Amino acid sequence: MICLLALAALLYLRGWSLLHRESPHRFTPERRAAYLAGLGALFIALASPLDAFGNFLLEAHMAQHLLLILIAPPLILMGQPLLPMLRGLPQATLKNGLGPFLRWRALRRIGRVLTHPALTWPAMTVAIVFWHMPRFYELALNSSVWHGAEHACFFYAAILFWWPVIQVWPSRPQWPRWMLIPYLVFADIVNTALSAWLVFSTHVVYRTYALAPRLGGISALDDQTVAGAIMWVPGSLAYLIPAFVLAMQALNGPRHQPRLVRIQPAPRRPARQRWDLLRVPVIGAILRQRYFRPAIQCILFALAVAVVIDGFFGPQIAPMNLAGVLPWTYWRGFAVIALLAGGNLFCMACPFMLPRNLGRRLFSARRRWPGMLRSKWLAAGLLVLYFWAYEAFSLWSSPWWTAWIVVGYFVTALVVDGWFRGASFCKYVCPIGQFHFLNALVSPLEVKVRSAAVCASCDTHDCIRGNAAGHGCELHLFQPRKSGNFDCTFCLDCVHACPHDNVGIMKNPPAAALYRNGGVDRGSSGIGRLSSRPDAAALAWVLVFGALINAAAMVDPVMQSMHSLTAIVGLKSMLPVTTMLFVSGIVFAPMLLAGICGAASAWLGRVEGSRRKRMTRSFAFALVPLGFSLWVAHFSFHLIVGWRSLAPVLDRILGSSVPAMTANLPGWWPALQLLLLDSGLILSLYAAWRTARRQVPEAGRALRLVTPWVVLAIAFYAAAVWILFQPMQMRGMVM
Amino acid sequence: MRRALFLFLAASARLFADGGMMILHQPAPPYVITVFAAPAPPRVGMADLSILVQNGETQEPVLDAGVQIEITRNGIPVRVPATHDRAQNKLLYAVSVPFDEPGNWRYAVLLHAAASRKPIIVPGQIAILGEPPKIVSYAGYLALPFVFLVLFALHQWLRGMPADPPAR
Repeated sequence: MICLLALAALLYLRGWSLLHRESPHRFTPERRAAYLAGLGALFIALASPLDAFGNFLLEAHMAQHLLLILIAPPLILMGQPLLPMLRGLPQATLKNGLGPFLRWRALRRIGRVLTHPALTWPAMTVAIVFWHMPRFYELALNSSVWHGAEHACFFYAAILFWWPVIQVWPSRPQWPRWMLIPYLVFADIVNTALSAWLVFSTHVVYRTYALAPRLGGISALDDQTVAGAIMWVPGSLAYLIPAFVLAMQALNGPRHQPRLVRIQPAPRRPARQRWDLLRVPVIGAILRQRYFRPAIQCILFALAVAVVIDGFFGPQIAPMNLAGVLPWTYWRGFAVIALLAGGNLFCMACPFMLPRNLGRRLFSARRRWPGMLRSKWLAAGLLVLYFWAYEAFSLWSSPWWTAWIVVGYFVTALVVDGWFRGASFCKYVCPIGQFHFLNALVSPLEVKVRSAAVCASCDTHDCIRGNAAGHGCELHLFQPRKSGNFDCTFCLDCVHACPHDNVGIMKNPPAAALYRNGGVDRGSSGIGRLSSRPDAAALAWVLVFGALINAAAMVDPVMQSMHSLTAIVGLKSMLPVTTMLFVSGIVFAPMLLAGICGAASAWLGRVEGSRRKRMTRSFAFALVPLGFSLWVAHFSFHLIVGWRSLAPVLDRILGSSVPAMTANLPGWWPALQLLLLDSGLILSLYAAWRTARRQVPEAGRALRLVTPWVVLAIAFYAAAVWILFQPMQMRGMVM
Repeated sequence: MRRALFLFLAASARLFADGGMMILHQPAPPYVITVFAAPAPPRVGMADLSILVQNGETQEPVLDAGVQIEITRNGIPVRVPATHDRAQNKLLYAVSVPFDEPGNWRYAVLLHAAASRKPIIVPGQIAILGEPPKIVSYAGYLALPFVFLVLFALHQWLRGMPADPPAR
């Protein structure tokens, strides 16, 4: 409630300050004060001690209702909130998002019908009489849901009731002003009748108050009389004072009729510079420090060494070992949150840079990476292998194996980058890197040029060639022609190398690389068109379906089914069943689904054979936001539940005492997980739609083209929701 | 006036009210005990029980009593203290109690107060409803993408429509 009120206030204040500059006589400080006072009244009604006494005293409950009906709505409407709220929105949202709705004639007609006095008066009267009937009043008192419905009903009916009285600009009056005098007077008569019923009743009308504890020595009947009096006197004043003002206006002559003003877009302002993380004070300066990256790499390297040492020599109990806790609970959770909030920050802090650099010094890295391996196939295969091994060998529960994986990673990085030129390990081998490259397509930050004009006049291309100030991009991403975060390690070498200081970490709409400026059909330096690369599409499918299978393997019903299947087949080990699940879930199912959806899409959209494969690959990337949202929901769940898992490990290592372990999941967490999935689905559907529009110009045909992919995305979403609703195995933590 | 101010300030200690439905209101001389339960109606899971203790003669809230709730779980009575700290409305003593399954649960309020040497025991019963299916509990969140989908379809359709003539 407080968040909603704060948002409403912020939106209004932002819009009001813009409109006040353009039209100070209409958007006055008094209107602003009225609006804020209205929100204040709403706050007092719903989130103050008044509500606390609602269960004890009818008079408190009545005061609360009066605030909701007679104080907050007129004050809010006196603030003329329509235009300020709209102008408070970002310009693009207003123009492109709400614009078509605001221009829609049918919606305006509905608005005029809803605010017509012939409808608003009965609506308000019915709402008040209905909810004061003892049966329904009791229903609201005994159910928080119905209580909320009652309050919402009062508030929105009152907004409609007061609309024609205050005549919110720029709506037009639908009745002569003098007609609103009887409108208010008759409303007061209803109010008076209800009040009199409460005041003069000889018994307690609402049973709950007859039984409620009496505070302050006031009897239930006296309480009811006071409540009736509150409703009668201040309530009547709230109706009669505006009626009196209207009468005076009618006697003083015709009122100035406001002109209907169409909502015009704001005058074009000079283009603002996009938000750039490197220009944020302090943070930008720290990020640009030459030794910042090596420093955070050293920290992660030290942690990796600690994991290896503890994994080999510590107790082989995962919750008591750094190798059981740091990688599987903390690192994964923080990595996906960093991707969600920023970008590929893990690669920026990659601990494997140190062995890579060591390898280059030792072996001088002269060879070129083999041509047949210059793709993502190897990395995609390693990812499948990793997902399978994680489950098949319970890697999370084996500190020893975890330590070996880290050592294997160090050795591979050292050998590959010691032997081959460039960042071959990052680009073609590292599965963790591929996870980050692909999911960073959804991230809100991107390393890119600040001004294309500056790059157009540059002929040294230091951002890729390098200079004395820094390396060029090792992954061959030429900044002026780079699109999205794919293959970008956020190393900031281009930032250091650019002599024009023209590379920043810019803000982007989430997943913009999937739908803006040609999306995955647009060529990007060092990558080419993602839609032309089956290896990249395969990587996307592995990671999207990997999210589902990885999470599914931890939930109770799936684990039970795997055990049952193992028993039915008569196997001693679960390895074959696990292998079957992972190979079919991450390899065969995506291939089959891609084939079916691609064929159905091409058939429905009448796309010719030669374009089918590329189109299917384009659509494959549209599912990336959905897969990423499941990774975030899953890993952050483990992070939040196992937040204190480090304590017993530190206790063992440092010898200090550890507070009692608890693993309580906050009540709001499932809702947040669902919101993450919702966002992923919405972004995926939008990216799929934009992909379809790129393929065919006609909207109807694009709709047919996208339909199979929409069905697939919704089925994926349903499966993900089902998984999140199941009890999930907690791994590597003390419970 | 001072009493009203005291009550207001006591309840103002937190911004939000305890709320909930009244499940017991019973004289227990020399006191009157009232028990509220939230959420309303209480369901399987954690439920907040809030207890108001009043002086039976003056109806003044008693704020210095020791209050416990006794619930029988799996045949074993369990006592948990109810305190002002856990209550949002500081006139109440509150405690969170887990109810594992639906049905009628028996409980007792145990009151240790200065006015009586022996603890006062007030038995009660609370009807716990079953947990609604998660799909119902989170229906709003599950519907959200589909609401967006419908709005987006409408948006795209409207963008394809010819623009309205300017209003006169």
